[in-house]
Parts: sequence; C-alpha cells; structure tokens
Amino acid sequence: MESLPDELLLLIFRYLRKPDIICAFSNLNSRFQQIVDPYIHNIDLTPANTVNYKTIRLILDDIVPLYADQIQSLTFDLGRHLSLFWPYVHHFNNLKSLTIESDNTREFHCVYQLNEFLTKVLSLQTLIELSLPSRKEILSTIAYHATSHLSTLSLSLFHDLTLTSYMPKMPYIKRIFIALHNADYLHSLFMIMPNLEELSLSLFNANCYYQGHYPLPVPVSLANLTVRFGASTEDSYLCRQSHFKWMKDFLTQFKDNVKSLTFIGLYVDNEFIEQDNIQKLVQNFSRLQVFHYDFHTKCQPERCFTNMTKSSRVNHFIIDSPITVSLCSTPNQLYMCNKLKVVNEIFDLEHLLSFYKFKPNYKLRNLREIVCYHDLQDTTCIRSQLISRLISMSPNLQTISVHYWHDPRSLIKSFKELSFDRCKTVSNFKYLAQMTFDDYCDPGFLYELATLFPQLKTITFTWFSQINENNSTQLTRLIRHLRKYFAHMTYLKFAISLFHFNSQPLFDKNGTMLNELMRQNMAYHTIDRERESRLLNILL
Amino acid sequence: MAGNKIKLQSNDGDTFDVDVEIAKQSATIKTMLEDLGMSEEDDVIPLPNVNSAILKKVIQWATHHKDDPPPPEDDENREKNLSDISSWDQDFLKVDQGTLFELILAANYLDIKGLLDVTCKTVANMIKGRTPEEIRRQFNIKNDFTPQEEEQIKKENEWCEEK
Repeated sequence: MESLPDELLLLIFRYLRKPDIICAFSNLNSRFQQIVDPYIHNIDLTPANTVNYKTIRLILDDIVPLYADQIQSLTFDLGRHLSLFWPYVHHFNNLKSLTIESDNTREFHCVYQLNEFLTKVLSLQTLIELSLPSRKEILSTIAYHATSHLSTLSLSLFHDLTLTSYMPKMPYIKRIFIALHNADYLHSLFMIMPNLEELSLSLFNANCYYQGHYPLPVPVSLANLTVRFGASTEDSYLCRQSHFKWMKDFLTQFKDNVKSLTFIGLYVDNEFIEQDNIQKLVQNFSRLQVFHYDFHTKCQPERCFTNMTKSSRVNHFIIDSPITVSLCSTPNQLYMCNKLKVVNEIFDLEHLLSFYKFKPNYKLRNLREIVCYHDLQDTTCIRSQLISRLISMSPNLQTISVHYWHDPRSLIKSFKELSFDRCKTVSNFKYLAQMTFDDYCDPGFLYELATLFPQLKTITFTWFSQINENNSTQLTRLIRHLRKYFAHMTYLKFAISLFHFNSQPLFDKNGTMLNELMRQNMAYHTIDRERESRLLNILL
Repeated sequence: MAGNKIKLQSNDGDTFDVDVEIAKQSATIKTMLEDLGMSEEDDVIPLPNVNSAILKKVIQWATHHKDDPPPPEDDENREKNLSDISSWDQDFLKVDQGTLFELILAANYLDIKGLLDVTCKTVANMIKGRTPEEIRRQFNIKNDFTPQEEEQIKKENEWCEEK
C-alpha cells in the first residue's frame, strides 16, 4: 500500500466514510498521519446507522485523546451518541462547530441530557456555530451559557414556549437558521437577538403564521433573509390558498432592512406564481439588491416564465402518513406516498395490478417503506402479485416491515417467491411478530436474510416473550451472528412491551446486567421510553 | 497488423495484439490513437509504466468488459456502494496485494475508469472497519515514529484511561 502515491490513496479514501478512514490510519506512521490529519478536523458520525460502535469507540479512545485539539467540527446523533461524547466535551479545545442531529424518533427523549451537555459545551471559547434539534428550554440554556463567540445558531422545528423577550439578550448571534412552528416567536426572537445579520426561516405548518401585532422589531442589522414557505402535503395545500396577502404583509416588515431576499415556496397557489404578484412581494423594499425566488407548484401559471422547468419528480409533495392499499387506492395515491401498508383483509386490487401491467417503466420513486400485515405465504393471490410488482417499481425502497407471524424459513421462501431479492436498497428490516429467540438466532434464517438484503443496516425484532435465564447468552449469540452475516449492520433493535421490560431479568433496575452484556459484546445501548412500550437500541 | 488490432508493449518488452475497441477503454490509449495522430498501423504503443504480467491482466479485464456501458460521471459527494462488485470482478481480483496495487497504478496510468473503480473498491473493502493495528498487519506498514513520539502518544492516551 505504501507504494501508492498520495493521490491514489486519497482516491481509495473516497470509497470510505471519514470515521473509517480516521480509525484505520491514525498513528500508523508519519506519512499516513499527514494524509489523515485533515479528516480529523471534521468528524461526522451521522447518519447514526452508518457508523458502528467499534468505530465510535476507536474515535473516543484512540483519536480524541491524541487529536482533540485538531477537531474543529463535530456532528453526531442526539439520541444515539450524546452520552458517549459526554465525558469528552472539555477536551475539544478548538471546536468551532457542533451539530447534533435527531431523527425525531426520540422527540421527547434526552431533553435534560441535551441541556446538561450544552451547558458544558457552550463554555468552549472557540465555539462559533451550533446546530441543534429543538427541545424544551434549549434557547434559554444557550442564552444563559453561551460565550460571546457564538455567532451562528441553527434550530430545527422550534416550538419552545419558554421563549420570551425577558430572556437574556444574545447580541453575539449574527446568523440564525430556524424552522418555526409558529411565527409569533419571531417577536421575542428579534428582541433577544438585536444584532442579527442573517435570518433563514422555514414555515411549513398550516398554523404557523404570525398572528401578533405589526410592526415586528426587526433588527436594523438584518440584511439577509431567506424564507422557506409552503406545505409538504396535499391537505395542507388546501389550507394555504389565501396566504399570499399574509406573506406580502409579513415580508413588508423587512422592507427597510433587507438587502438580499431568497423566497422559496413549495406547493404554492396561483397567486404566488403570477409575475406581477412576485414583484408585489418586494415592491416597497428600499434597500433590496438581490431577490431570488424559487416556486414549486401544481398550478398552471398564466404565462410561462423563461426560467420555468417542469419537474418530472414531485417528491417534495409526498404524503407523509402511510396509505393502506385498498379497493379505493389509486395509482396516483400510491405514487405520492412514502409508506404503504398492506393489510390482511382481501380487497379487489385487480385495478391497480392492471394499471401497472401496462406501464413497464413506471417507478414509485417516493416509496420508502412497505409494511406487511398479511400472510406472505399466499404468493399466488392478487395482493401478493401486486406487492411483487410494487417492489420491482420502487428504486428507493428502504424499509420492509413484517407484522404477521411466519416461520422464519417460510418467510425467506415467500420473500424469494415475491421477488424481495430485488430490494437491494433496503437498509432497514423490521420483523415485529412474536418469535422465539431460537427463531431469531437461526443462522440459516439470518444468512438467507443477509443474502436477500445485503445492505441492511438496522434490524428490529420483537423482544422474546418468555422469561428466560439464558436471554443474555442468546442475545450474545444473535449479536455474533449479525456481525458475521451482515457487513453493514449497525443497529439491532427490540420492541419490548412494558410488561416484559419490567419483568425480565435482563433489565434490572439500574440496567447493570444489560450494561455488562453490552461491555462483553463491545456494543452500546440506549432505551427509548414510550407510554406503553420500550425500544431497546443496540449499537453494534 | 490486422485492421482492427493494435500492439501494446509492456515495459519488459512483451507485445500484445489487442482489438482497438478493447484498447480504447483506456482513455490514455484512446488519446494516443485519436488526438496525438498515432494510427493503428503504427508498430507498437509502448506502455513504459506497466509490466507484462499486469498488462495481461488489464487486457483480460478490458476484454471481459468490452460491451459495458460507459461508467457514469464521477460524483465526489455521492456515497459509494462498496458491495456492488460483480462476481466475475471479485474472482478476477483474487490476487496478492502487490498485484492489486499494481493494477490500481496501471488503471490510473491507462485511465481505465471501470478498472480503477473496482480495484479501489476492493482495497476500500479491505480497509473498512479495521483498526490501525489490523491495517498495519494487513498491509505491512512500517512504523517510523521515534521512541519519543511513541512515548508522547502513550502519555496523551493516559487521561483517557484514567477517566
């Protein structure tokens, strides 16, 4: 390998994720150290399901102690990594940018932990950029603990009722990127950030419009404004018909300050795409030098704009809530949805099947998940033929969920007959029927599953129902098999009922047994607590 | 020389008759033939950076892939899929490490995108998920840190062990 010139080593590195490069080539010799140093400046451990525990442990144990001073930018997942990084915060003496991402499945978790973590990280004098998922009291934590060097803040889906104008002012914040549930927050936001120079605002909720009194206390320094506005679903579009006037009045609040305005509208109605109206949005602006607009719409404009393009994909209009395939389902609905449920009731689905038969090149580009609630073994019925067809038409399918009990080997057989082996993009498999642990651990089942879905990164099972002293041994076996058969597997998850969670010996009061098990297996776990159930996440 | 064949000469003097269309998978050879005015009738195209064993392997690969569509434009930001290596390529690349790295050098010199892609992927698969010690053993990488530097590394690791 040392015979290769640096340019070819860098070419090979382009096939690897940065954490893998850092872990493999640090402290080898001076040449490799020189090549790998720039990768250490920016450590990104997201998406969480792409980095396994071994890699994270290597970074924390071998890289951070030696090179913490070189790390300038750090990105990790809130729910999965926060407690791992907790003990190391004070060593990042040159950290300039911290990004904590959240997949929103742990929306109500980690509030306390995040605020505690932030109080430590905000004391770093070098930190100038902070990007966070919104949690309760997050802004007051920042207001009370940030140094004056923090200048850029990014908060997603902000809905913190504790935001008031009485909060300590943050004159040092110059740029904020924020997605608001309610534009009324802007009033207080401007009061506590009087020196803002740039605001990037996303408004995607039907009830998010500003209801307060104008004028807004817009900071004099605010020169750059970006507004993203619109809907992500067709239903919301209906609520948005009359909002041109609202938007015009809203933007007028910025007319004496803003020099650069970018306006992005998704699913906007006709009023927005009339050329004269676009100009009306900014007609009173006295300092405006740059105005960019980008509208996506289903409406036919009165006349063509020179820069208008017809989009072949409308994947930003996808329907977020799952669709159940039924007699009433239309091809258009299926095209728009990203999660499809197939239930056990028998519907006449011939109309869908015939439609797709005559469209050999038709693709369901938006479809990400198929949830099967029915018996997959009946492979000759129309429902199964339809599933087989849908799979072959879905180039972006990521998740397959099975909720109906099957013998594991029969399940594999059905998958093969239904052409599930064409789902090479699937990274997430959920088998949420009750199985025994012997079923999960069956090497034949896991081997076949790995052959069918070689890209699997996450696998979810239902926690075994029987109380068993040997659960820890079996879990160890399962982890070993997963590591052996699945090259990319990073997460093993268990959906656990509250009863089993409280009654089984693996979960003692302090989690000591589970912690010991994880230590033995070089794995790490977090538990998501819902009202009726728990989700055990094991990072492999 | 046959009408649709050219002669390629390795750096140890061996010559190989190759179909022009197969040879043109190498952008370097294609440029020589098209842009630099070399003709198929010229005696031989010398390839001073490739020995005959490697050139033979390269020709074998190019012959097998002669009907492949042109590889897509490289996108630095696109996540690369390490597992989409065909079974033929997997078997073809079951070679010792020295040969694998020489194939990378040859693919780079001859500018054969497909071969460079598949050889780099193979090496990346050998690296993925390994610790430095595993990498050191696997690729026989010499440690040139001085004892003082080693000591410093150990020392800086101590706070981690103490925590």
